[in-house]
Amino acid sequence: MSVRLEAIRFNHDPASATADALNIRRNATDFVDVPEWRRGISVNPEDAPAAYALAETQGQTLTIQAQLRATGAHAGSTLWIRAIDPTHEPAPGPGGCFKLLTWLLKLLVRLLAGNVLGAVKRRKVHFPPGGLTGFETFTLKRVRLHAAGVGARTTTWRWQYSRKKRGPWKTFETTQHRIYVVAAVPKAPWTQAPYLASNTQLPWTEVLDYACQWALLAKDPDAAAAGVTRHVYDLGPGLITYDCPGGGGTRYASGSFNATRFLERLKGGTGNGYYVNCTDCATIVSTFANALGADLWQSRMEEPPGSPNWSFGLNPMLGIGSAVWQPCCGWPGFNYHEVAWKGGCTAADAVYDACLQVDGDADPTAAPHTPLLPIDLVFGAAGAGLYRDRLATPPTRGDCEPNPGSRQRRNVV
Amino acid sequence: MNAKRNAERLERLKARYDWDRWPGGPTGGELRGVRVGADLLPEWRLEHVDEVRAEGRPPLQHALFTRDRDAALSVEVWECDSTVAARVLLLELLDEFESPLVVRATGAAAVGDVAFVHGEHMALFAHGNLVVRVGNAGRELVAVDGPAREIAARLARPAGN
Repeated sequence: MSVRLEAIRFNHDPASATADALNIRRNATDFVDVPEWRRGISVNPEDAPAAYALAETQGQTLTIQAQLRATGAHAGSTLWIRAIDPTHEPAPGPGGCFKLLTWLLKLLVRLLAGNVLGAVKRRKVHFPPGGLTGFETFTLKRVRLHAAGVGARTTTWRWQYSRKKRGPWKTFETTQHRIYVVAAVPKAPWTQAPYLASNTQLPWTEVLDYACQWALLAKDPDAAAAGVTRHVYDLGPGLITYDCPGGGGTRYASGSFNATRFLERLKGGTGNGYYVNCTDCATIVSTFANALGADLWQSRMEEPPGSPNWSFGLNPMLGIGSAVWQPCCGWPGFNYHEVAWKGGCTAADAVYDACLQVDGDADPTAAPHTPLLPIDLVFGAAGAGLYRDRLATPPTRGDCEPNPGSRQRRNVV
Repeated sequence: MNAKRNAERLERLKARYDWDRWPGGPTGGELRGVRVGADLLPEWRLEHVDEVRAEGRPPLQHALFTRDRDAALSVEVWECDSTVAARVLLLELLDEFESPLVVRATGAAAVGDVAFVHGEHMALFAHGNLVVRVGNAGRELVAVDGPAREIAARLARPAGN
């Protein structure tokens, strides 16, 4: 006679993200089926992924649903069921600095890698004579999503049953789950509806694997976007570099964002090659940051209608992958430039630019240079000392105008 | 981009890139159902071909070819409805280069009906109703005029020859 766990649903209400997990898929081709954990199918944590949004779950009670089976004498009976966090250690009592230090160290490890979903609160479950229950709702306790922040971590649960409320408890299963924590519900191009296997714009866990690592511990969308921007810039020159040879053309974002090939590149494959331009960087940053709940556009700056000029001049900068301070690739200027941009993508809105570092000191036009990666930096009016002034030379700043009409969020393929 | 801004932008691009001096008709016929495969560049190894569909754009086949250890070529082929549509797409693609140094190709680099280059490492040309971009994708840089000519010649031949 025994009790078995048959399946667990984390995303048991596709219409809501407040008390359960988000609607997700793995990549362009693979959907995440619910129940996420299934006996005999889910072996590793990544076999049973689920994602939670910090903003929407704040102050809410989280629930999961589990289906159980009892055999032998337990069929037709009522048992107490719970799942404990095997990594949980209560705070030590008095016992000296070493004990406290060890506990704090373990706490840090748990924060970075431990059970962010805490434990499954005990409840009575009635097993029908056939032994198989429906999907029973369980409440989670000691949830640490908000303390932990953005990340991709493994939650381990040791499932136990008892005839009595306070035990003795008998372990009948141990399950592991890949739990993604994002700052808020993912924004476009990512969607939560329709919740169908054919909807390729549901957030991809393969994107979250990188985005969560790049924005580890972030608590809000701005901090998450900052982490993504820093890490995308740092991909150069090892993995990607600015397309000086090809004139700064896009390789990953022509019409739509070929995230599949970019992920292939991140994993060490060829992808669409070594070179990227501003459009690629803007698209990568906004798409990965928006998967974490940021709300960024891809938008251009360029000469305004009626201008006699075709481009704007550039101050010395460090293009992605380059260690040389110069106008990008030594060119006389940019025809246009595209960045991840907040709000209405106007001069009053902030940009996140992983394509280049500008000079952040009092005189961005000349050495010495102080590298500044534009993160949440307002575009600004000419002369305001903000992004525009740091990018464009003083005489051509009027030809470096935001073009909010160009703003878009490329679909992910 | 809104329609008015789009139309204005297109007119600016036509002026910038001397649209009025582009040759009138295609040098060959229009091609339908073009398949990008390993035979496009026989001396290179085809890594993959992606068919990419994006709103407002004709279908794109994006291929990656490699040779030796660090040389790679990105080859993109858009199949438009007509020669005129291909020319307009060519203009739109010219608007997606950050460098102001993309110029009309001359001499041996002038492949297809209308061609533009960035130095010797990128070629963009219209060939009938097709638009083709050939660029480096690896750390080792190669001149693209040869591969671009080869691709244009291959596209001009009927399938199977």
